[in-house]
Amino acid sequence: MANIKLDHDLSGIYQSLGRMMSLVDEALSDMTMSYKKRDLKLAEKVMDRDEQINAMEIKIDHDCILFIARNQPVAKDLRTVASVHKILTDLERIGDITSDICKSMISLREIPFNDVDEEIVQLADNTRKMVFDSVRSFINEDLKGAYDVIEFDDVIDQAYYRLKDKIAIQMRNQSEIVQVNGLIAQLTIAKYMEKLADHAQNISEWIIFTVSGEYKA
Amino acid sequence: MDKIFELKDINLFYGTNQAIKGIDMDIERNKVTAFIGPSGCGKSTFIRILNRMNDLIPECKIDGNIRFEGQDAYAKDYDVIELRTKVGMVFQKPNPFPMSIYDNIAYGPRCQGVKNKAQLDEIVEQSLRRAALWDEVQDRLKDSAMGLSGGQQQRLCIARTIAMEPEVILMDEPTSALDPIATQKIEDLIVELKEHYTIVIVTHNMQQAARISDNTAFFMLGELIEFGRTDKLFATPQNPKTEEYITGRFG
Repeated sequence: MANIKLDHDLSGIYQSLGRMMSLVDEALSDMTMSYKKRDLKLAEKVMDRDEQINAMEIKIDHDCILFIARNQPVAKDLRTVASVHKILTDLERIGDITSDICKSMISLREIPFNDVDEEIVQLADNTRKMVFDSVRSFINEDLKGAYDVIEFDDVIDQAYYRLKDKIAIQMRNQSEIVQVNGLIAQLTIAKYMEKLADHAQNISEWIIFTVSGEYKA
Repeated sequence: MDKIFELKDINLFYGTNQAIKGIDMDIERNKVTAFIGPSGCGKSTFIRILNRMNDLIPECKIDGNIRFEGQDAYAKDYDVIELRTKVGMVFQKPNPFPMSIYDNIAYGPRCQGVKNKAQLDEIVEQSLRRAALWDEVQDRLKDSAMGLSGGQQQRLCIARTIAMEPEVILMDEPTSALDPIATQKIEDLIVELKEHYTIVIVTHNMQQAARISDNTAFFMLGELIEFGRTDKLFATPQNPKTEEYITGRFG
């Protein structure tokens, strides 16, 4: 037998989470595109649309509280709603960081696309996939998908450290302030990407809690 | 774990109908143990095993090992009256005797031979205080207990049980006939009482079990499906049947 009212409310929360995920994914995709093309107008749009992600966080947060008040969930229903509540914060932070990346792009506007940018775009594509996979795994209760995301975070960390070394070497050989500022922006953006991956990892850890009740340290 | 009851391989039959099927359970002293499960699952039958209330039902046959404070509670020479003094019971519907508030409490001690007025006064006051009823009734102890509200009557029944100085208080759906405020008072009382007594409670209200009990047992069709720490059972039940029941997906 289904618990019709509870399942209906929970399914509404899942749908809203899916919509929030779409907004975050679109922001990550546009951010990468604007980075590739040095398109500051697109970057500005991404920053403007962060409001929508923030509004979505408040809406789902409210839905979660209402769900608890109405249904007094226990067991997996309770773990699910508690996890959604945590995941919301991660998604909202991902939106903020994506905006911050867009803001940092201003320093790159006069610098042509170079080999460091190639690697940053690679990092952006990978972190976007991690974020998408983490939320998809949550909605599908896919434990393997969650563990894959967690494992992939090490790959992102290594890529970030390699890139950091590369930027340091380039910085040593650079005397022009515009170029140095560009390298600082690239380093900052790479660090932001690494943080994005951490949030995807957090989301994946909540999947493990939802499905098994165990906390992943 | 300090076990007050140890039950091993308990089977109970009403005629040919087996109501309890091979249950093992230890009940922890000075804790609240809640029994939950759908109607007809055997939880009320099981709680009645603890003070031999099923002895009164003809055709009822029980086997297994039931030890109360280390003694075989079903041994031929075991004093049932003594058992029911130590293991008191409160029922779903408050059932005060049709006499004064004072006499309701004093009834049990008088039956046991306490005649001294000062001693009875002391027992009545202590019992009513422990049942969180003294402040409400101290000025009308001679009034009929039937004039109390449902919630007060239920606390009076708890006080009447306490007057016998029991070790264990069994409660069979003690709040199902009460409004939310009276229910909350009984729940607060249960949490206070466990300092002095072991409480075993049958409840259909799962939030109540989650709120007040330390251990929870989930019964279904005469079987013990899951038994353990309440916080664990409601957060991460181990058996899918428990999960289905407590999340309202049972049936």
